[in-house]
Amino acid sequence: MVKAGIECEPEYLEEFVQEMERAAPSVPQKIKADPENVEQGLAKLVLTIVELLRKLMEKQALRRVERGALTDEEIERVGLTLMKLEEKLEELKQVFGLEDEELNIDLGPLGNLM
Amino acid sequence: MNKLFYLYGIIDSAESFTLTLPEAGREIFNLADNGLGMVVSRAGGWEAGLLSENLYAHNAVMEYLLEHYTVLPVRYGTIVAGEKEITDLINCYGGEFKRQLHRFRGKVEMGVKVLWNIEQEQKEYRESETSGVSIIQEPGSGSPGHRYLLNKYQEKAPQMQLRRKAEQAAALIHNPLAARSEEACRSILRTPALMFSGAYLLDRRNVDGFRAEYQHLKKNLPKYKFLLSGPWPAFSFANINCMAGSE
Repeated sequence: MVKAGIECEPEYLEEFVQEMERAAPSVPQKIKADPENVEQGLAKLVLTIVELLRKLMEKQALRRVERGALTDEEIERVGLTLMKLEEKLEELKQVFGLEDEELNIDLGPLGNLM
Repeated sequence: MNKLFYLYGIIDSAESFTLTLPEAGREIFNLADNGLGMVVSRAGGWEAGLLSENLYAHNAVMEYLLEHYTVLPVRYGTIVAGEKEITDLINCYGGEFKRQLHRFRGKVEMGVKVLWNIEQEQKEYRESETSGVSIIQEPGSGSPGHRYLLNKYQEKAPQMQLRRKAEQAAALIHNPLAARSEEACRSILRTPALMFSGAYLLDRRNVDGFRAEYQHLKKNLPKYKFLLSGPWPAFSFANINCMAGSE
C-alpha cells in the first residue's frame, strides 16, 4: 500500500500545523444571494474587485516610487488618486456594513484572491 | 433508507467492488458507470462531527485508491444524494473526468512547505536597510498626495523587501523540484512565516529522485524549516467544477 507520509523534524511539526491553519481560507466562500442580502452580496463582490484594482495600482505606484521613476508632479497626482480611492472605498464599506477581511474571494486551489 | 453518499474520488475502473478497510473502519464501494467509478461510503452523519476521525478514514481510503487505481480526488467532505446523482454526474462530466484521469495516470503529488524565521528576516532587513529611495525624506511634509504616497511607501517597504527575498529563496527551492516534475505550482508567503508552499505532480517512479533533490535542498538551506508530504492523489492539480442536484 502507498503510504502517504510526512517528513519533517518532529520539533517543527506543530509550527507547520499552526501556519497551515492560519493559511486556510477564513472568509465566507459564497456570495449571499438570498433576497434579503442580495444587495450586500453584490456590493461585496464589486468592492472586492475595486479593492483588488486599488491594491494593484498602489503596488505599481510604490514600485515606481522605489525605482525613482516618478516625477514630483506624478507622485502628487498618483498619491491624491489613491488617497481618494481609499477614502471612497472606506465610505462604501461602511454603507454596506463590510469589514476589510470580507473583501476577498476564494479561488479554490489557487487560494484567496487577496 | 439513507440515500446520501460520502464521495472520496473518481477512479478509472468500472468494476464494482465493496470492501472494508480496517484503517478506515467503514465499508466503501465503487458505483460504476460508463467506464468510471465513484468510490463512496454511505453517509452516516459522521462527516461533520468527527472531523479528525473522518480525516483519518478519508486518508486511508485515498491511500488504497492511489495504490490500485488512477484517482481523481474530490473536495474533502463531498456528499452526493443517491445513485441517481452519481449517474447524473457521470453523464454530465464523464468526458472531463476521463480527460483528467488520463492526465493523472501513473502520477502522484508531492508537497513541500518551508518556514522561515520571520523575526530574523525582519531584523536583517532593518539592519541592512539602505532604502535608497531619494523621495523618502520627510513623510510628514509636502503636499497631500506626496504625504499619502510616501507614508504608504514607508509602511509597505519592509513587506515589499521581504516578498522579494521570499521570491528569491522560493526560486532556489522550486526550480530544481519543478524540473523533476511534470507539473508544478507554488505560492509564497501564504502567512508571514510560511515562506513557501509547492505542489509537484510527478511520475510515481520518480518519487525517490524527487526525495533526493528535496534532501539536497534541505541540506543546502539549513536556515529554513522544511516539510515534505506525499505521495498523494493530485489534489492540487485536479481542476473540475461540477454541480449536482441543488448545489
